[in-house]
Amino acid sequence: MIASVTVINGLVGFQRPRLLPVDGHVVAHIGQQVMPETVLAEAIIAPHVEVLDARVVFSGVNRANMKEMIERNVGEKVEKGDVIIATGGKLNRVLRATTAGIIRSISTSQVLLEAARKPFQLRAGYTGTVQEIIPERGVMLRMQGSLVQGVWGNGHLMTGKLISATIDARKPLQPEDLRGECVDAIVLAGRCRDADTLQRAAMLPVRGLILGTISSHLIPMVRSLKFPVMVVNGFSPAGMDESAYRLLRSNQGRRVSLLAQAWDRELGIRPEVFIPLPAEDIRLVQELIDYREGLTVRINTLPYMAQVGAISFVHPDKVTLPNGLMARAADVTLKNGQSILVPLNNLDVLE
Amino acid sequence: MAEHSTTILIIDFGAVETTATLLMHVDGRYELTGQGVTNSTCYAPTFDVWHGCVSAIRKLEGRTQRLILANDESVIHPTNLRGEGVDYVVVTTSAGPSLKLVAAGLLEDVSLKSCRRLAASVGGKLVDQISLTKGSAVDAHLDRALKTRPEIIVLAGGTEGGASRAVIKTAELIKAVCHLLPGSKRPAVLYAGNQAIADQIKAMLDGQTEVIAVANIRPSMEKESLSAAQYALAEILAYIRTKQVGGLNRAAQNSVLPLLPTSFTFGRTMRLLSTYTVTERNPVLGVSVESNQTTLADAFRGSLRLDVLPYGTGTGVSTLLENTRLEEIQQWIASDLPSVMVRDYLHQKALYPASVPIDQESLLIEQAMIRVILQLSMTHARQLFEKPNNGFTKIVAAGNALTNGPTIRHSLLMLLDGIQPSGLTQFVLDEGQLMAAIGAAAAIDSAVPVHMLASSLFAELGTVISPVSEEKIDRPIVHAKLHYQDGSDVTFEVKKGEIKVVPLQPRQEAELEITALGRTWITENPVRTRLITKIVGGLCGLVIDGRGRPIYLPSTRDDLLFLQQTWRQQIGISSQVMAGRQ
Repeated sequence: MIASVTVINGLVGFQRPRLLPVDGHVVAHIGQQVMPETVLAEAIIAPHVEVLDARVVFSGVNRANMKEMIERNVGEKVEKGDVIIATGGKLNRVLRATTAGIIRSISTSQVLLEAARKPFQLRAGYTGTVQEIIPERGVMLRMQGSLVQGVWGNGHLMTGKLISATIDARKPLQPEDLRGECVDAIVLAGRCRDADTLQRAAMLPVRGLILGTISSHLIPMVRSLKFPVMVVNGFSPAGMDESAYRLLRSNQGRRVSLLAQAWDRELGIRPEVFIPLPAEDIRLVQELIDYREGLTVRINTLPYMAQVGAISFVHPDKVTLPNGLMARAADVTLKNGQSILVPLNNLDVLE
Repeated sequence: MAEHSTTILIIDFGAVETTATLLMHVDGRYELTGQGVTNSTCYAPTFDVWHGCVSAIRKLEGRTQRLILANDESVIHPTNLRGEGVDYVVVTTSAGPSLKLVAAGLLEDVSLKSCRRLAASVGGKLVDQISLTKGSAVDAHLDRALKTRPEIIVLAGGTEGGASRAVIKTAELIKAVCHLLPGSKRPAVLYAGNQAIADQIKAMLDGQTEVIAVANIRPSMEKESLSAAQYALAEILAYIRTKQVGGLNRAAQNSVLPLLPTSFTFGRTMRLLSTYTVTERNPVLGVSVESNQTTLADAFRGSLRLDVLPYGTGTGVSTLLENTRLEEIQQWIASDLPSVMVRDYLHQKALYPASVPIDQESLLIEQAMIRVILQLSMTHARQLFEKPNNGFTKIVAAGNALTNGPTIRHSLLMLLDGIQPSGLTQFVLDEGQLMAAIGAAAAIDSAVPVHMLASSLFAELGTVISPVSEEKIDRPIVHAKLHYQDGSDVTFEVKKGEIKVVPLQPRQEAELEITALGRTWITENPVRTRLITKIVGGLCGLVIDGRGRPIYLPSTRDDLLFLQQTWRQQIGISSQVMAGRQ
């Protein structure tokens, strides 16, 4: 059975798509070295179309003459007040652009004018190289460095210096943990359970938060924050798994890219923290793995959430769980030596 | 050489699992030969459903000792002289994002209503509704189209011989939408309106986008006719999926029939079942709760009402949480779990949609969630189809989370709490998830559903009688006598608020005399206070659900817990952890 894989790796090569939410215009080129702030592509996210009634202007005009009276072409840019149709003659009737924009369609009955809008700019988020152009949508980037994948993010991205606010992956982050050194930094902590801490983080302000787990009642508040918040393990009081916490803490003081994007399985996008490292011939991350003995795994659900262990046996057939359900499962030996039965679907292989 | 038997391979691509089912015609009947199930490879890292499909078929090969895949991993068909391969392949899918759909019609309560029902049959997400007769602004519709990029516009309106100008005006708006969108992003148009202008509509939009014209969904103000449009819409949806889901096109090329949505073939089986089921006034109901969607297929004498909703036990949890309050779920948990834990669990489930509850607490949360999914879905379907009551002759339940609980009694209690049917209902569990596969194979041979539905592959839970009563709690509401075939009988009374189970073995028949007491009705459609009828038993026996409709839940937590635990005991769920299905 193909495993669910989460990358928590100190030095690895990987590719990532960076895509516009809607079709647009790609400005990057293949081979381009990009920084997190580099603009890759642009698109109008919420276009507005004005329908201009041409029938009033053309009223009484011979159909054969109408074409000559259209002064602009489809695709042409216009400013507000520009004449689009003029009948000429003594009773010159005109149709003017009601807004600056692009003419999308002209007929004898109507003109469709798409209003000019400031485009959304898709930034790289990573330090890497453009490997491939995905027409109208974005690019595929190639990176190498340390990578920690998360499970949830509030949609923002940012770069900054990584500071650890707590010394324990299970300890909740408190307002008093957010000291002066956290100002303008990306702050690492095991978990967060209250709104006061998030308010304190916003007031400092921090550049971002990397948390193991949060309480799900904080989701609306975290979504409203202006800086990125990435959750590594999910929603529970469990805190961060040791593997991710140890790797992130070992990178304290480094400049990191925090991409707290939503986990989108359809696009293959996950929230992640990336620390670019110079190296050659780095092996590419392996994301197609079958569950097998010896693999390091992380448990993603209660009652063993965020615990890390090794698969000691994969049951060939479905087995009965303590609650009576039947599932494909594996025996997992936790760090403390305890052996537990866990459904395969609740395990992430750590790569 | 072995004697040749017709074989049909049905491949279903779900959001979480891919299933390969093999049916074989043996001794004049179709039988299930085997199934292979594997995790879907729809998403990262493979983005290729065929990868998982090969794995599912390999498992099926192992179980049936029949070679199905050639060396190049294509399906061998038809069956060769060595008995390798299969004769037919059919493919269904429920993987992929919700279809973005615009409903365009004339009158809110006529064509637009039918458009909405049509959209519901494929689980389409309505991103806009156009009714120019209401005087809505054209540019607002254009803006929405540009922002939401619909994949299909369903255009209806005008009865036969009725309105045409307003329909043409709406088509002009659709033409403008097409002008604004790049060629590859233009929505297909399903025209299901006044047939007198069908050619004119097609000519107007010719060169702009693909137009599929089908029979009018509202041939008259009084009549609605959705079936032709449902099939066309299902085909369009499946076609769009082949462009969205990697590997699906390859799978579809193996199929002798057009790729169809799983919900559509599930509905087809229910429609066929409704033609075999002796029913007075109430329909049969198929309910399938999957990871990303819930399907309700309500069929009566060959007429189907299909409602596909975005609530599910995996990826559909997010939509569920957006449409319900946590308290609605928590009130169905038969344990005093803190709300923070319940909320966290559900949000985590949305992140890991295929995860399985490990402990008792997680299981209770999931089962409460399923009850609320059923309630929300039933409410939606009742409003959409303006159904006056919840009377069903038979309810067939599918979907792993619903049918593969620790015991069949867990499944029955979830169904009773979630659907809250009234009157006499037979309950059946599709534990092998065969209903949609049968519907898909029915297009190859109409004997498939006849044979399969009569087989022992489905768990017959038995008959449940759910009286509607206005009596107070603990007051007797029915008096009944059950006459067994061996001549013995049992007399019993049921009080308001109580679930009573009377032994009656699977397929065993008995005669039931039941009389309503006080302000109680045995059935709502037709209204009956006394009934003498033959009852068929099942794995759960004969069940009388005396809780009334709707089920009353107390407001205090202690009372609620006591009641939940009482009902579990009454239906036969042990308070101890169950090891293995019973």
